[in-house]
Amino acid sequence: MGPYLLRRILLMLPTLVIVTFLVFLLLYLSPGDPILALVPVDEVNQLTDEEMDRLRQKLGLDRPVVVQYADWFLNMLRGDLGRSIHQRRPVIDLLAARFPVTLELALLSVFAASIVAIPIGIYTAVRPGSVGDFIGNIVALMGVSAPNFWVALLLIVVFAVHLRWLPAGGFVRISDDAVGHIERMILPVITLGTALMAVTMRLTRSSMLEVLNEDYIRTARSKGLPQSRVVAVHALKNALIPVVTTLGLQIGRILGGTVAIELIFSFPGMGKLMLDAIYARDFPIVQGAVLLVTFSFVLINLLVDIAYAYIDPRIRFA
Amino acid sequence: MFARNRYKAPMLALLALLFVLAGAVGAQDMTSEFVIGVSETIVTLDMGVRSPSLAHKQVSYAIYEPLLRLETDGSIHPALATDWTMSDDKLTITLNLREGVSFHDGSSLDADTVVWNIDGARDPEFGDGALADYGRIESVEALDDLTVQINMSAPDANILSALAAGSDTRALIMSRAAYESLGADEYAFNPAGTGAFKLASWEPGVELILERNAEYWGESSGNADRVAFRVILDASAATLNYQSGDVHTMFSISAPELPLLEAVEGTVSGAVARGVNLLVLNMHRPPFDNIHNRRAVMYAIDVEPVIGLVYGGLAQPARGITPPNSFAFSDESPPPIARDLDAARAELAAAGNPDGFEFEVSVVAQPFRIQVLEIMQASLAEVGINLVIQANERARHIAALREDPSIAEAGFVQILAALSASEAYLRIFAGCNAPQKIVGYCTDEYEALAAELPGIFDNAERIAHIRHMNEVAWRDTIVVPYLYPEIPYVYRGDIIEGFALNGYGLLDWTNFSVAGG
Repeated sequence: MGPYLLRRILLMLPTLVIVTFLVFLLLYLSPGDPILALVPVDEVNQLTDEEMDRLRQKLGLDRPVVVQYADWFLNMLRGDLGRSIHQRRPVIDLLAARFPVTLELALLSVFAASIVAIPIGIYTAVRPGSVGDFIGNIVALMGVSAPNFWVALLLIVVFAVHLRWLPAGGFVRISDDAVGHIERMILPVITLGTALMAVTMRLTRSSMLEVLNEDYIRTARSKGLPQSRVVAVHALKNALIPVVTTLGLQIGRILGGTVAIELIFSFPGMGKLMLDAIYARDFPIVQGAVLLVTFSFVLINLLVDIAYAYIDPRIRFA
Repeated sequence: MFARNRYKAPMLALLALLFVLAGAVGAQDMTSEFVIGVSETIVTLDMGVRSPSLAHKQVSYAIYEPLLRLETDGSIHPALATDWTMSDDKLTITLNLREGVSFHDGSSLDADTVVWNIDGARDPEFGDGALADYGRIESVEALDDLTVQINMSAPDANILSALAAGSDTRALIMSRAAYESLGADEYAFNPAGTGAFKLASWEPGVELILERNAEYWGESSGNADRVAFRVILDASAATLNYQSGDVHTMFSISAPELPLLEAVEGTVSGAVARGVNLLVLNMHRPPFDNIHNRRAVMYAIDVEPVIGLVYGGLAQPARGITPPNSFAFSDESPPPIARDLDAARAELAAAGNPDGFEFEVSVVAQPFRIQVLEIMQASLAEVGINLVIQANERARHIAALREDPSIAEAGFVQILAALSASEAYLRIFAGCNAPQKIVGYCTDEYEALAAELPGIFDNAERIAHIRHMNEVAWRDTIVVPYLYPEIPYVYRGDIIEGFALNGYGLLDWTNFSVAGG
């Protein structure tokens, strides 16, 4: 396991370098001047040419792209991700404020989806063709088909506008107000969890169905083991491998940003930070965020691979 | 046999738990705080940095104050300066500062602080660079603790408006002590002004909370202790926030959302006329290097459907570049746009292209902007003019207007800024050094008029001069101004009292109260 982990960690480095350089290049090649993006679109009159040149020079944007990237990369190795062009704050501070929020949202959504989807997936697999299976399939289909933004608006209409149980949006840090934090997390988590739940439910069901038809399950049953033990001990672990893979990928996807959810619930996540930064040509933020998201994605994949060994002892890493 | 009941109970318990949790944490009074919904992100509160949005301006004028106060009729009133005098040659302005005014960090307002602020705003290396409005200031000096003298290099009739921060928040007065002790970066998130409210907390992109400044020097009849600015970028979500009672006031509402908001019990709505919408025409090349083609577009555009369908009636047809919220606006001349297809065809014939022509309009790819152009497209097609919509990403659109006349033959422009200097609207497009280079209007006649203006101090003469400049620009059809938009707002009248916006769309921070506050 040790050499395998070391090799995977070393492989992360070229991945990060290549991804960040490509993003840097794409941003540089895309039309639009970051200095012009500083000006609100309806107030384009405000900056004079001299001011623009001075700002460009001040922010180092008048240098060749390779020099800009090399400068950024060397600073990144020292832990300095630069300063936002628009927000004028260290990028690392901005990421430190946003990433935990998105991570919490991702983990809670995956947790909520899993605790609902996996039991239902098992249930529907064990009783294929039953009424429960039919209802489960319908729910899964609805969950997959309903767009996130629509589910979000629907939840706000029901729980915030009509029932007045929960706030329609906003965010409060848990250190400031624990109850306020929880109540503002519920609707985004349910929204994200709904689609995730549907996918996970379907995947658990199909994977369980496949495993339940394996010879060793038949052997276990013929030995007279109770159905619950066959399902929970013998079938579930093997069936969970594709589910864990998907959940890992989903966490990575959510970390990369859930812009629609963040916009609707006024949530300070990575998605909105990156979207604003891309529109504003705020290169340092985009670079820092891409670095962090790529690193998280690679790390999660590594953790998922390691989890395989614990779920299925037959898997060994060379 | 699989024990189905074993799973049923935990499932039901889980669902029950979710609903109990939701009900328990949700049972609270959601109207105990005055919350303003805004659709823009506030990125800094350092007044060395130009104001990028209306929300930023609202917050800035709550935290900071200018030396003088500008009314929408162009009159100047005391603020941090109690009175002022201007020398006969108009080259020296002496300001007497208010005594006993403290910044939010506890430091006192004095002449040195004001000199530091004005010098900072003039310094090309400070913040976003030199404030153009201060371009004719030669030097600033403190005569004593509470007296400041401004020495001008040349007379400037706009200087008092500039000191009143009428067009740029960079003229608001910051605490020098706080700025120097914190440094620019920290100060941007810990601002200290003299205003009626001070910053309590701020989660950029999410929520900014202000609290009443108990040490405020001025009179304040309101009782609001806390005001939250909540950023909600999605229009539907913003409406739902208002309907749910989470948000009590909203500015910059899109027309389709307005009826939904007005239907909420206790809602009071209004609108502030603000700015002008135009098609800027690229006079560097055909077809708009020919005035007849420019006039043909002006005569063929049908403005009424745009006002009705896109603006929900909250706009009026334009009559020149100077908008109604400017004190130099005249409702007599020039005439408003009146659609006249015969005149349009005659102009096309005079231009030598009686069958019409094609032109591309650069526009930021936002639904309402595209919708406006689609309506124009239909009306222009009636005389054979083919308007092609070029939906650009915003930075490229701005480049099309300012830098590269090869990108498009025209551009969609909406000026929502309330500019204190009436001529400032014209200056955007007209003149050899206009920032919107796409227009390229540079004539001796107009340059001479623009050069005369700073020396005209008599208000009536000044207004007449600006109106004349507006008429010249209209005569030469340098742009096609087609409507003056109004910015709608709503607030919960059953919760807020004394809610008032001035002509610049800014909240009167001293007089509003929250019911039960």
